[in-house]
Amino acid sequence: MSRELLFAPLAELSSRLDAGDVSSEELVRLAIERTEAVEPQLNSYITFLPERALAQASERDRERAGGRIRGPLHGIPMSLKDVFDTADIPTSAGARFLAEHRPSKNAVITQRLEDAGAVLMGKANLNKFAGGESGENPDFGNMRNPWNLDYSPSGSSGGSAAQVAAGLVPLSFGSDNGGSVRNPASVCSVVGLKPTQGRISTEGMFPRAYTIDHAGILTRTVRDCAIALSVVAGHRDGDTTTARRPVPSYNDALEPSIEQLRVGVDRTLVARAEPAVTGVFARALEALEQLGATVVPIEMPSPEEMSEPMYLIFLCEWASTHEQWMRERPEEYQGGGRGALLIPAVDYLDAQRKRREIQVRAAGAMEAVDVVVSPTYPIARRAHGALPSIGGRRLDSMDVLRFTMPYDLLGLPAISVPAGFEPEDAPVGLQIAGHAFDEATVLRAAFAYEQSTSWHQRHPTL
Amino acid sequence: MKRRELFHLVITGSAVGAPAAATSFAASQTTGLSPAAAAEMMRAYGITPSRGEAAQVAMFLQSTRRRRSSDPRVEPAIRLETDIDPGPS
Repeated sequence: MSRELLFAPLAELSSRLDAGDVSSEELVRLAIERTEAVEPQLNSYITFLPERALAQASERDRERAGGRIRGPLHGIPMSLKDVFDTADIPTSAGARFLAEHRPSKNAVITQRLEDAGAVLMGKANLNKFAGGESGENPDFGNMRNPWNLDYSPSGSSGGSAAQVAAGLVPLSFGSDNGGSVRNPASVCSVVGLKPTQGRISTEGMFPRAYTIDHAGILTRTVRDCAIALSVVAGHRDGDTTTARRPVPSYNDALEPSIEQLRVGVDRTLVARAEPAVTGVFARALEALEQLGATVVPIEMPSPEEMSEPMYLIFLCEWASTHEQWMRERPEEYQGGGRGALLIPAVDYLDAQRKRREIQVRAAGAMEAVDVVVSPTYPIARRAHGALPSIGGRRLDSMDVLRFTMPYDLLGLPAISVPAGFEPEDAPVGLQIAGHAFDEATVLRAAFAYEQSTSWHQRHPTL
Repeated sequence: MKRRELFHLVITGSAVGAPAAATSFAASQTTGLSPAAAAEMMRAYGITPSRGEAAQVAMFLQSTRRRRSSDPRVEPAIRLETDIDPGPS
């Protein structure tokens, strides 16, 4: 019973809470026991808040007994990557020197979750300053993958993905500016959504690259992701990071049929993954065709072309955030990174112009399709330390972001959904990207695919 | 040396009233920005290079050099608007 509850989708937990089968306090106690049992192996939390979570859960139960249901996440345990401001709770961004930083108010996303009744279990571990995909953190220790503790859950939202995969929480929130939600989702066999830029607020989220940052969602099922997106999406007065677009009911958009859905594939791009991953991807593509989708060859701007403006934009915006610390704490910035302060503004604007050119060409390439699919991550296993080789060539960080990074530069929605294991303890994800502010179609395609498979029903034996 | 002059060096490789740095920059063109020039740029920005850092910064800045320039008529992508009109096909 308890293990069943730990791995139950939040949609089911919500129904059980409504029916009185279980209380929020019981769910939180289970989550605490589970965390205490496996956290020494995963190192997924920077701040774990068992007492606060229990108090919050009791309050939610009292509210429910009094007839007050705050929203669809009422009483549901969840975690936040430690980049989202939480009033009076430390928010470190993965840096030890910020470990005692206590924001005075909640990030917009934190507040929306609290308003919807969610129970915060703690702040998840991440790559320091949300930089990189290694799942490593020199200040708080490396995160580990619950499917195989010898490997990384990837990053930078590695703690969040590991927690969802291992049954610590059914829901976590991360940030993504190169693949930091989707890559961990891929290697941990969970669902990871990076919505359109401007769909979810990033106000109060520790910035890495202001015009590329996205907040994202990690869950075990696509339906759970749709429910969570409906809670956190949309504009709020005074928030400059969200677009004034209507938010549809994402849950209502889910249906198992994708008849006539046009699925774009850039086969040149896909060929640059390791064979285990391309094999899984080929089977996923067949599954989409069997569901009635039409596969359409397309040619997107290449990741190589995108990398130059991405690099410049990243560096300049990163330096803008870190300037004070770069001056006061030079020991935190090794390898010449402080040189980013010296990049001319005209180079930054040049990069943003190139970005716009690429966005326009990508929009043209995607006109003929509803979604674009690819593997999420080009390797099935991410060891800590150096990246592996494919075809005798050692991968670099841009190689492993080649499927995910483009949608950060483009600002378009993209989801990673579990697509198989190769081998048994090495999950592989399918990425489905879509048009701006059309998360509904992305979620519909992901849901139809998920329902035709059983990958999401497998859980680590940890 | 003024900061903008140093920036100009990075952008164009030519000096504006900066003979010393210009010389060191010109000498570094075949192999990259010299550590001495990078150190001078850092100091102009109010940063004291730590031991060995100037050489790393020199390499770092070389890595950010543009391969081509963009069309100056294109609007930079700094507005919060990702719903792009691809234009006439």
